[in-house]
Amino acid sequence: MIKKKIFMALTLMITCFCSNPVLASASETIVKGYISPTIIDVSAPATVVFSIDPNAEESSQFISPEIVIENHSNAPVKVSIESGASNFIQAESSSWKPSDVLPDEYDWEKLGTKESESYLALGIKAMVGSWRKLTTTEAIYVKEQEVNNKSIVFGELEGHSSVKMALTGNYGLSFSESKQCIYKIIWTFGLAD
Amino acid sequence: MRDYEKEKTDMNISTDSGVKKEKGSMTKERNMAAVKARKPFLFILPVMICLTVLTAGVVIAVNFTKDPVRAATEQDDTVVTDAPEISTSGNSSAVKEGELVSNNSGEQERLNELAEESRVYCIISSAPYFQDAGSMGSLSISNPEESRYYMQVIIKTDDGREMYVSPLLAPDEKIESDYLTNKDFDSGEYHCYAYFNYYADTDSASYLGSMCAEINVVID
Repeated sequence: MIKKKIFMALTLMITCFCSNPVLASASETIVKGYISPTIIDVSAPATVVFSIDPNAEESSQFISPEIVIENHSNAPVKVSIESGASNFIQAESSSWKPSDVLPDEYDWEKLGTKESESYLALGIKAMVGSWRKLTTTEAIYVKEQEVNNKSIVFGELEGHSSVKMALTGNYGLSFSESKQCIYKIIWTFGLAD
Repeated sequence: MRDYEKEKTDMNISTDSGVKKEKGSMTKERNMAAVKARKPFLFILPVMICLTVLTAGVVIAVNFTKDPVRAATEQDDTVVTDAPEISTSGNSSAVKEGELVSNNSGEQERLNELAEESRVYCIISSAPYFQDAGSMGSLSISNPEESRYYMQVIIKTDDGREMYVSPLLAPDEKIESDYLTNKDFDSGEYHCYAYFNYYADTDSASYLGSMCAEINVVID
């Protein structure tokens, strides 16, 4: 009888001991999260052609296409041109090689043939539209890019959206023959801050 | 002796009492005769003046409307008129009605189409990860199916060191993972620029242009 009681007490004690959570083996759940980096997915025209017709009305003399930049990413993306002349420059293959100048360097309407065929002020700017954040609408000119030591951020566009850029130019009106020139622009895209 | 004096004398011979009366009548008759004699002259004078003015006006009008060249030609017999013959060899089908107009109405659309035809794509991971410089890392570079051009990607660090050069990708080709081309990089996070160069075909001379993606390369 006494042995039976002792056995039951021991059993009870062991049961209580094992059921005590404080003395159970410690366990923890490690939660690991893997977040993939955002894929930048953007498109833009590789070639942009502009034309100058000195015989047309002033509003129709300089014609350039709409440069549509599309963000196919889910995340917002910023659009910029990095510092360095090579990022906005006249191409070596350009048949007409005018000197790149600033728009206020000449009284363009008064230029004769010699100067008209020697100088051009070409710039690019953001057009007002569906930007997430439009940093600047001022044009950046090829001449300015030569000495530009910092990137020019035009703005940011939302995921799955598009924005427009446009060329702008200042030029003379006296040309003795048709001209063709080529410029290179290297857009830089990155995740918006 | 003048007639009217003779007449006066004759009158005086007749009677004395009628002399004054006769004298008054005589004067009156004389004046009337003088007026009668002047009447035709008074009529003719304004007519002559009118004719003179009219003639002068006609002469002036004719002179002002006369062709000066023709006038000079007619006046100067030494001027030679050498008018060129009208040639009939011109291409009459080239003639169109209306004035010259600088027509840029379709130019905008044409340039827009050219720009769209040259659309290229820039698709890459914003943070490629490499376990170490010698391991394969995730790049997620893609040249999608809708692209028309070949593409090559070159990843360079901020200071211009080349880290990776991809093979030339045709449309609908991708690189999910690859090894760094230059393995001389220590562990760390590198701010890089991935330059996408586009070509119309596999010839370098067909280079179209470039775009750039700002990325962070992590080497663990």
